[in-house]
Amino acid sequence: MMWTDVGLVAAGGFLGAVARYYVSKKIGGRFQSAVPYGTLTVNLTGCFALGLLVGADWGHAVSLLAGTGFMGAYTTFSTFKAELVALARQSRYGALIGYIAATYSLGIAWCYIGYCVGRSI
Amino acid sequence: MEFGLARPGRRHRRLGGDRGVGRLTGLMTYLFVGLAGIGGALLRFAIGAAFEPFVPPALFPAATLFCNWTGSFALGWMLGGGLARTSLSERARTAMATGFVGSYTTFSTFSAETVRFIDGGQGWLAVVYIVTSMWGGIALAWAGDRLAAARSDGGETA
Repeated sequence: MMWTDVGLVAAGGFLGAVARYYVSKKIGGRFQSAVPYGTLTVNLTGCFALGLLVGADWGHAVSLLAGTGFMGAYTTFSTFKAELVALARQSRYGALIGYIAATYSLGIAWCYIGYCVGRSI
Repeated sequence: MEFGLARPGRRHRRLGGDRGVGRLTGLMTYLFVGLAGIGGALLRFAIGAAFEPFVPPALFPAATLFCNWTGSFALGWMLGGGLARTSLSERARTAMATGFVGSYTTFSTFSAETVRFIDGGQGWLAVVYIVTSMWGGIALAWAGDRLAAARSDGGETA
């Protein structure tokens, strides 16, 4: 493990976490809904962007900075799961099923689209 | 929920008449979230490197699954009342939950690994990965939440 690698992941992680905080606050505050649209927005856009990065394959440094660092930190799995638990505790099962289905199916689909776009450029 | 935690700047903004001060405390929260995000991203990177000799990522993304599972448990505990019992400031709590654990876990890497399985014709591995990730993550976040709730009910001073 090189120190430049550590620096790239750290820089990406800083920016990714700040970007997620900003986007989830802006989007989440806009909708008065049981479904956490802020996290959904972050995860779906991040999936497309990471798919693009993987498909385009711009090299080791870009992969660490923008992929492992930025997109890794920008998207989140734990918040998604904690929100599902909160929906279950509020007995909002319709929103819960919809949120799971939307995150997984659209996330993987957007990632695949990003990957195909990335490969073709 | 995180949205409840994620507004530490507001109160200051309302109390402090000076808009400049409010903006500064808001920016400080961003700085804390970013710095904690470095910690989460680096821990995830280190765990990936540690897993690599044992389980090659191309075979199965065990490191990502490990981070997502443990992070889900940790965040379930934190938001279930674990953080509320600590003496951390509201800004530090946001940094821990949103910054650290949020960055430590990742959804985009999970999706990219699933896409790689699908694209490589290993559809059944994609299904195994999705199911373990999805149900394991929910179960662990729920377990963390219950653990925090059990501790809160146990008569500990809040």
